[in-house]
Amino acid sequence: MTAETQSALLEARGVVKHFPVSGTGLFGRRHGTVHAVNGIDLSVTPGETVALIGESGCGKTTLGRTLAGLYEPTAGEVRYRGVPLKTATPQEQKVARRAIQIVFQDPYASLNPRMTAGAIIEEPLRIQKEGDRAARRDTVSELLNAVGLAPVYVDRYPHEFSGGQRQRIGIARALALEPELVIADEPVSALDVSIQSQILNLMRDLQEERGLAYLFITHDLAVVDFIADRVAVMYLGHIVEVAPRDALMDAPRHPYTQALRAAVPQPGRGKRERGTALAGDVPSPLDPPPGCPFHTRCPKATDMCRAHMPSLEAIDGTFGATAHRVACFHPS
Amino acid sequence: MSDLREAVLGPAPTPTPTAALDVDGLTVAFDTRHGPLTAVDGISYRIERGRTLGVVGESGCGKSVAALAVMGLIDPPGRVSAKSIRLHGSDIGGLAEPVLRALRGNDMAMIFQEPMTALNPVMTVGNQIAEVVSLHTDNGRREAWRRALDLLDQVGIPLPMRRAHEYPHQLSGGMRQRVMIAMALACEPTLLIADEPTTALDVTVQAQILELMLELQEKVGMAIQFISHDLGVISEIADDVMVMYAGNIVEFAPADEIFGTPRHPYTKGLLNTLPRIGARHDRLPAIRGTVPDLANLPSGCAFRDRCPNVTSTCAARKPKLEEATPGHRIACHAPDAP
Repeated sequence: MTAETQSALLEARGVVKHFPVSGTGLFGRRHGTVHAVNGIDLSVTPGETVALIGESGCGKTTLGRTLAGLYEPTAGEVRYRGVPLKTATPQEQKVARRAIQIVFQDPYASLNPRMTAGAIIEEPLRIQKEGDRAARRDTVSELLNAVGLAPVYVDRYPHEFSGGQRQRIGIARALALEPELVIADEPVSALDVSIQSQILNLMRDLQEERGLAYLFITHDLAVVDFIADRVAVMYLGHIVEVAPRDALMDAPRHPYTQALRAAVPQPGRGKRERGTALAGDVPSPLDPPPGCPFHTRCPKATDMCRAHMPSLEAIDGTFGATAHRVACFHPS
Repeated sequence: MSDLREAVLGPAPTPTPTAALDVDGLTVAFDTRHGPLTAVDGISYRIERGRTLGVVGESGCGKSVAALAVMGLIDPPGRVSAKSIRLHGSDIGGLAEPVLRALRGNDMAMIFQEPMTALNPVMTVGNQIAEVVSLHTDNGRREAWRRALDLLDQVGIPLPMRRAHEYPHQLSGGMRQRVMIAMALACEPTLLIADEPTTALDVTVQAQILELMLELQEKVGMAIQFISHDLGVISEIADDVMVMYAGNIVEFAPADEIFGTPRHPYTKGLLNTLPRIGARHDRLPAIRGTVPDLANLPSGCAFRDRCPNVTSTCAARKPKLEEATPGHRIACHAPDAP
């Protein structure tokens, strides 16, 4: 564990994030807790791409935002280069905030419509009081160039751009402070197929040029197969499996990962084979089931699974940061 | 199983040689501040009974607008024109709204991406389905309610007796889409148009809905026009595939040919650029440029700015959709070899 701690850029240790829900419903007050993230251990090392995959409500976005410092964890801690953010000095916190940047899913909602592309990209530099105006303008043109946008675009407003171009602006903004890690939350999900591949290629080029690490949050297993070095699969607030890309895609061990893998439509494979779909829906994170979170849909579930929560254990003698870990009493 | 089908959906329709849907020269245009804009540019296609046509393309290609036009759901200032739109042999193009309203639900039905916006939030799902049944049949209320329960059961909703009394917000996205399918199939339509019906769903739930649609089609025999931006989904459901770009059909062929030997450079580009499990590319083979603005299309072929095969002819003349091999149509001056 110590080796991992030293080499990790960002590390989650037992991170829990719950949201209290209270509101006046039609039939009186309702109270509850959304168990969005339930004790996550995960690390990202410099230059590495870790994909966080799962279906809606699995907690992947909440975990990403907690790791980005946008949410305070309910329990557990987030460490940047071994330093817990909660107890870090203001100076250390400032360094960490610059080092970790975020790119959002919806390039239509995440850019201020009243600011020009140039002003949007410059904003982080201005807030951090980086250089003078001329120096900042130079940085902005360099960033526009890096994300493949022509210099003339600097004075245009978001509505003048296509979805793909907007996402390029969002990426340029995230790169302005020369981060070490970019947390990208579904950055290509809102884009057309032909534009999606352009942005994925761009992200990979930027990673090579700048030595970036990515935490890439997505629901799309095919995108994961392209971009990720390691993959963590989330279900109802838990990581159920984490492994290097090839191991996870080619030999998944958790029944949920296997079902997810089988559900992805593959062009050219012909018509869907009947009777292969996983039954049921994801349970509500307001009222998660006891035991293994997946037992309500799992074909292998036993009494053990219904009563106890399996822990995330390394298999096959794998160890360290790249171990293949599975949280299942009956892995394949 | 066929007994159940009869009980629920009535006797099987007699097979005929006519196509379920035969569209000839469909054009849809809108007037915008920047002048007229042709969203669908004179497309012709047919879907045989019991078959599924997958319609694929990127945003703005006209795939949804064409479907809405067939359903008679384009409102002015949108303008629809066609030589003919034949539903099971009879021309429904240019029919008056009251007649179309009777056809919708009875002979053709449509389901959408987001069932929450298509369902009435203040009516139980059982009542919504029963309403459709009683609008289109002479069934009494009790009969219609019983039919609604049968339909809920048909589309795989557990405990239909209980679920029928629930409101749309109490159901998951997948369950809501099942309710939409139940409503659409209430009157055994000849044609079901499904516009991105699984796009808002999780991948495991999407698999359930695709299985359900395949199963119901086998039982009911309706033709399906299935619209999606996702080539994987199209591959899993379609018998034939129609690829659209900037309001035109650029390629139309049986699914195995589209995925096995695509001829149009756009189809080929789309298939190559998709990230695929196991491909492990260093870079994805990208299609250069962006989807064109319909108000500002290049002359000749709309794809030529992005096309690797572009020739001087492409700017001069718009390519016609022509049969290259039996059943395989392409609109391209320089298609790839089969």
